[in-house]
Amino acid sequence: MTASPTPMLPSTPSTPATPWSRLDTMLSGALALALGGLAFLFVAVRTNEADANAARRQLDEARASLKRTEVSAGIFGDTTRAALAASEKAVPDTQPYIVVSIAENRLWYKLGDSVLFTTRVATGTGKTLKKPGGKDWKFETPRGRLKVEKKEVEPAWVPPDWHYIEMAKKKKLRIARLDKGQEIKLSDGSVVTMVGNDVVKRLAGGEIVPYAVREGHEIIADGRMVIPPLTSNQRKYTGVLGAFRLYMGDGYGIHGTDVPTSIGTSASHGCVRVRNEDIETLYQMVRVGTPVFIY
Amino acid sequence: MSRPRSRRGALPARTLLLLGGLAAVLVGDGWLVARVRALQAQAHQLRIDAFGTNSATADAQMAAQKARLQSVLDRVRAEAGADRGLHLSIDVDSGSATLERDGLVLRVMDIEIGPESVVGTAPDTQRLATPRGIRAVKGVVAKGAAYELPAWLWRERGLDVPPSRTLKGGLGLGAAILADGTLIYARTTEGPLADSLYVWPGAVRLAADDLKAVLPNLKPGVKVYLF
Repeated sequence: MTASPTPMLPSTPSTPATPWSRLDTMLSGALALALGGLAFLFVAVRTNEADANAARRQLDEARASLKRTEVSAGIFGDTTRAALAASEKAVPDTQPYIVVSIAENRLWYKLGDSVLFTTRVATGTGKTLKKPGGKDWKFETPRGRLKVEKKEVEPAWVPPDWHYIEMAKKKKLRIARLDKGQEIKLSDGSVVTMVGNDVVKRLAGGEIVPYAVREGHEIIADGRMVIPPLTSNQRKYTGVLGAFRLYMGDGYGIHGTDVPTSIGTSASHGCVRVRNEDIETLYQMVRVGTPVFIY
Repeated sequence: MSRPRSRRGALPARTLLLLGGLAAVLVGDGWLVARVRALQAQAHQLRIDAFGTNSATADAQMAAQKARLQSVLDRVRAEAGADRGLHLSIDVDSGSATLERDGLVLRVMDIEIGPESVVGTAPDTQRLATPRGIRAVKGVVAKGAAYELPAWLWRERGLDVPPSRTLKGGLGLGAAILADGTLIYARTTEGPLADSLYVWPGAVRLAADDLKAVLPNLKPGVKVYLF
């Protein structure tokens, strides 16, 4: 084997590397890099523009949400509260009023939130008394709203029927009702009858003796407790209710008492009793029409 | 001195073109970099603004929610003020109650409201929340009446539950029960409610004298305003 001689390739005529061509090569490279950077930066600009737009939308949405919230808050804001507060003040607070607590046996005379006067009272016992042939009497001070209908000086107490029934029960007596124009014949021949406005005892000899009564000393005839007619003088007790009474209607009143030790207890038959000096004060301060709230 | 001039003068067009192109692209790059920076700064600032606005919105929402609740409570208070009938107004936050009629105050009372609490043993639990709104008295437990107290009243305080939870006078002086079950009561002298520091969760506790005074007035149907 003989080695074939390597053929001599014709040599390419090499262009001599000029400084310009090297510079061109460098410039081309730099240009390519710069163009790449340009493309990259162009993408970056678009991305950042999108990002900034998104941030702007977020801000716009946030501002819109804030505006909606502020509007919503405004609906329940000060204006509404002021209107509601104004509606609260629609209730007049210039009228004084009386409040009675049954549980505490206390009375307040108030104006708005101020207490002008307060004192202890006696209210109903809450006891019941059997009414002949009917319902029971319950000696309760009525709860609710009443008003001072009239103011009385030296009020006379006209005892209701229950007073006589209660006294008769206490003294173990029967009851005899005397109506106007009627007589109650007694065993000794005398009669209990009316002369004018007085309940009198007409003796067998024709002599007329008016009855003198006071609380606890009612007319008793032949073992019977006599209930005098409502219009009779014997059905009017003075001094029992003190010097003044604020009448509240339906038989109920705020009045003084001849039993001052009962004040502060549940002792009355439904009226509100106060000490005589207190009813004098109240009489001077309270006007007719003053509401009385009893609870 | 003549050499550079000769070199410049010899710059081929291609080189010049490349140089010009490169310069132009670099200027473009520079402008784009500046633009990117500006956009980034703008986005950053917008986000800061959005964050601030969102915070303000959250604050405003809280304020609106508070205002809405306050408005509801104000409405309850206003309705109480406008109610001419006998009713009880309870200011939960200030711990006071007033018996009112015709817009006038008949009695002012200090009260305590039992804390909000989840009572009972899982899964039989019950959430007793602070009562607010307009209620009416549904029923009244009389003084000394037998009343079955819930077992959790003992358990909550680490006490043994007695075999019979129906205690005579379990609610002491009595109580008013509102339509939603809210209890208005006073501290008892014995039993689990005798502890002065313990208030039935979600209930209204009055002083004994106050309950004694108002309970006869709290008949079924009487309105109770809690605000």
